[in-house]
Amino acid sequence: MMAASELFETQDRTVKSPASQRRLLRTTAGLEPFAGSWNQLTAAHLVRRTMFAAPRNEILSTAASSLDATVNQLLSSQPAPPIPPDPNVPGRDWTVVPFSEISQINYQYDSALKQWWMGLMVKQGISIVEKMTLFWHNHLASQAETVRDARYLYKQNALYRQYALGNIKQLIKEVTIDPAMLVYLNGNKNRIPTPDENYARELLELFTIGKGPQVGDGDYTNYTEQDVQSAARVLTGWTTRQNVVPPAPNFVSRNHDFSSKQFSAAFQNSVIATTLNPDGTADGYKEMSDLIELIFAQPETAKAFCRKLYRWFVYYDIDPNVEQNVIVPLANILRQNNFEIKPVLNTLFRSAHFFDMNNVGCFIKSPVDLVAGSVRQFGFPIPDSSNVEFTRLMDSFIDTTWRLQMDILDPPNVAGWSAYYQIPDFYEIWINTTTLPTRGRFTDSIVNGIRPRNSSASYKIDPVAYAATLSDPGNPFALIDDIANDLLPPIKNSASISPEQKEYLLYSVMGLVKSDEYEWTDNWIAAHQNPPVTTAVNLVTNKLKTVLKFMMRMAEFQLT
Amino acid sequence: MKRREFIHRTVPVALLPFMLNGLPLRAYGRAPLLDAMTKAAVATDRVLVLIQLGGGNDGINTVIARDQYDAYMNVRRNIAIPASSVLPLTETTGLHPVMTGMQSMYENGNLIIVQGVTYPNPDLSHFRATDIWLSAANYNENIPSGWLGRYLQQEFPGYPEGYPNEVMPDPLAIQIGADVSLSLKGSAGPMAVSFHDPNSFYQLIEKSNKGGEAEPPQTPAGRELLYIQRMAMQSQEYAEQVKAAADRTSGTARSTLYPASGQNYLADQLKIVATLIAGGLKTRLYIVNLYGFDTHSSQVDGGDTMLGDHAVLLQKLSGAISAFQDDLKILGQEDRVLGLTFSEFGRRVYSNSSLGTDHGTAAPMFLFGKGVRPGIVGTNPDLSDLTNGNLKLQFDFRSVYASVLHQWFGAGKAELDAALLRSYENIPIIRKSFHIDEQGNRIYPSDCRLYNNYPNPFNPSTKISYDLPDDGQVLVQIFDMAGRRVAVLVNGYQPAGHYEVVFTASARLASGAYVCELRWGDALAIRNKILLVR
Repeated sequence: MMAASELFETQDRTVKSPASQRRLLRTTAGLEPFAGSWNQLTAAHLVRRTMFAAPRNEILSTAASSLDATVNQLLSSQPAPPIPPDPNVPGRDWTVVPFSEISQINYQYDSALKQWWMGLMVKQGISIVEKMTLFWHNHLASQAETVRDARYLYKQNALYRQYALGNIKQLIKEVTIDPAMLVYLNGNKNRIPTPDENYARELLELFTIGKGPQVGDGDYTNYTEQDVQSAARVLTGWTTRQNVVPPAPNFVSRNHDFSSKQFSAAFQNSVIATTLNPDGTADGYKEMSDLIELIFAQPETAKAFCRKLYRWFVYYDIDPNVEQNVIVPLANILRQNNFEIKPVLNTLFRSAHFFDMNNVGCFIKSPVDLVAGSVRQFGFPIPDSSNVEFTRLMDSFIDTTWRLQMDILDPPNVAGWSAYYQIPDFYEIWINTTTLPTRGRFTDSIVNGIRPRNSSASYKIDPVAYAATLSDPGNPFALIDDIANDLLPPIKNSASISPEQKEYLLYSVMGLVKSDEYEWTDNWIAAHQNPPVTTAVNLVTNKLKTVLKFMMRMAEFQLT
Repeated sequence: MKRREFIHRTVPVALLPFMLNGLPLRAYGRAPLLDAMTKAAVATDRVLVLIQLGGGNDGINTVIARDQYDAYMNVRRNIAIPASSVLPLTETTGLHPVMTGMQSMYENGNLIIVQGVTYPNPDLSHFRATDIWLSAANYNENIPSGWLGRYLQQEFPGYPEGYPNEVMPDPLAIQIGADVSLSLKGSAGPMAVSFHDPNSFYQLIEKSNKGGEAEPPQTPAGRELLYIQRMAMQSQEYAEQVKAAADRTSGTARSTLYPASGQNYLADQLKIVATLIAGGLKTRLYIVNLYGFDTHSSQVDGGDTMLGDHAVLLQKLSGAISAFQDDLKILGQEDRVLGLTFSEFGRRVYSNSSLGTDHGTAAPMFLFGKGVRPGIVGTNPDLSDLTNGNLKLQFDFRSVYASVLHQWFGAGKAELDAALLRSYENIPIIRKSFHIDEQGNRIYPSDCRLYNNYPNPFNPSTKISYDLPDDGQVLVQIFDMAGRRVAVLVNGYQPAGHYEVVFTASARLASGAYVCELRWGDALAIRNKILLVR
């Protein structure tokens, strides 16, 4: 793997938004508890940011509950999902077979894994777990095309899901010797006498403490080149054995560097020594663990995680106020709780800062947000996961996110997707003149019908059934308001659409005639008579399709 | 196979978009033959501009029956236009007083009115009636595609796969407004580009922010919204072609009849259409609109029936169309462009008590441009012979569509059947000199012309040939040099075409020069000198 430092510039920790010529109003609110009212607007903000969009019933049910109860629900542990089905041998747990049994057709298992994961995301319940799993995949990235072992990727994905709400420090220990990661960043080739520094460098630069300003030759404030080398030596000896099952890391003591490892002043000139087992071999796990403890003992490490979480859940611009009032206190909470992630999320999602109107609607949907979110939004029909049609439909979604530059399990490099680190554009990287029309074609397709490759079926939302869930679908004014509130963030003076936009939607897009808006009502009623009037059903269906497609092509729809 | 079809069905593989790493790229191979055909195609490209009058225009107060004024007063006294103010077109028919622009167009031979247009069993719901007009469906059938979409599908098979390409680099149709109109939907989807956000369209064309929203708020959400809106504008399909066409027209002298921008929404749209036509877009269809014709109340002012909502709308309509026609002439495009107005229905014959009219049926359609056969087709609607208080059908709107496709675009039977699903009457609405065949060539002579006789000098017979660009009254006569008529060769009504007639000098005519004269239409007289040598 190419070292991350060759791929992009240093991550500055207090970046302004240089692309903006306009002064942005940012909130000065901090982590004090949100004191505003808990209603559909606030509930929608919380569930949309912590999940992939949110259908109306989830917003209504959480709004009817309380902020406390909703955060507790979002942050509660989830049972592990069933393993991905074997595409070739029904019923087999392919994740624990020797690699030789799947090596020639590993790509099929990569696909099965992606389909399974996409399925978990589009079928998620009210829980943050799937979004946190994706967070860890982005933060501790591995690429399937490099790892080339679907069993390892499954194991890594299961690790991220297991630690979605767990202890970050323990997760870093686990991922350091995770087989997929050992392959991806050459940890499995890191041995004496010539250690491979690849993983050690990314561990410091990307996965934990992060690179600070370069203040001298090989000195990046938070760590130095000496620390990279010492960390690499600490981690010598770990390897993978692809035909030993179940998949697990393997420590080979004779490949380990037994000499003591000197760290720089950035780590208080600490020394890590090899602990010996009774038989004289090295205790590789203990030594790795010592390294992670040393890194987590540095205050910068907790801050680096909190910044990454902030950019995943709130906004990318971390100005001095955010750094001072949000990042630093969150990092304190993280350290005080021995790196348990839940207390941090618990505080953030109940804070005045999170719910400040200036932080609403500023998040550009990632391709997965767009695809999984749109599917969830309308109760898009998903075949049973045992059905081959399920895999075809998931492939279609995966293909869409790939076209939109987000190939799950194959991020562009070890740094993850650039939308979450690349100065100054961040989320805006998702949107360009190719991806924006592609997003529009996708949202059109869920209304017009998706015909997955090799499938003869067409899958689409039922716009009339969707409209029937709204508060007063026979009333065109209420209908447009409800759809707007369902699909668009409230960024127009706390409304989802401006009066001009509403006017345009009613009279130009829906084609209502002013003062004769009752025609919609008449048709809605006629379409729901028994038996329904066919022309009214067609008319209502077509108008709803037009409105939904139009609104999902509005710029506001890309925001959440 | 027709030439145009040949072009569109033989798009080389190199023209098809291909994907690189998931991103569509378009590569254009240049083929000399293709280029030649492209240029040939441009020469005959005709344009149709459809103006949708949303809400149901009151035809009775638009085209006024001067010969039924008593009946007119009887059915709608509270909103009747005073007889003395009606703008006369003929002895029997006139226009609403605000429509001076269209009255001039009528006098200049650029306007035709088709009276009493509707369809059997008309529907009085805006939604349903609009769908019928756009899809060309019968009252009792639902058709999910539009007449223009089906027509374009015949002309550009496979669209959008392989488009844009060298032959058709531009949108097939452009709609200014929301989602692509039903009329432009083919069986496989929209055949048009719609400029979803009229404001971004204006910005693209005129670099101005018109009638749109205020800038997004200076919040993080506002910043991201602005960014996405910019990307949306930049990624608008065909944005480059459209912008380039607009740029090519900028700086050109334009009609001074256009009102100031923002005063007349229809005029603003039509000016953009003229800009794009003159800028060289090969786009064949444009749809623009003017809404607000649903005049249940306050159609007229209580104090003065010549004022009120309807007068404002008709003034905009007439002003916009006449400015557009003037603009096309200045831009040298008037031979290429035909315009047409339609509305989902007319209005009830009897006015209501709130100074308005309720939903009705038949109404007149306007077609305009240099190519129209000027005049009025049909008769004034009979205000005393009604069905359920509504006017009767004179022409099916689909006959007008069929006539436009056939006469203006040269559509043959197969295309007409595909577009309109049934056969409809052909109404003479286009000057025959503008009719084209399926290859895009004019069918009839473009001008009235008298050819030199052959032989000349002659004795005793010579052949005289002439062209008639349209049907009409023809007189071919021979005079001597003193102005005395010596023979009448043709005197009667002849259809457009090329004619030959033999003149045999009678024995009593002496050697010498004579004059052959062709008279056609109202005023035209062409004379040739012919020489009899005994």
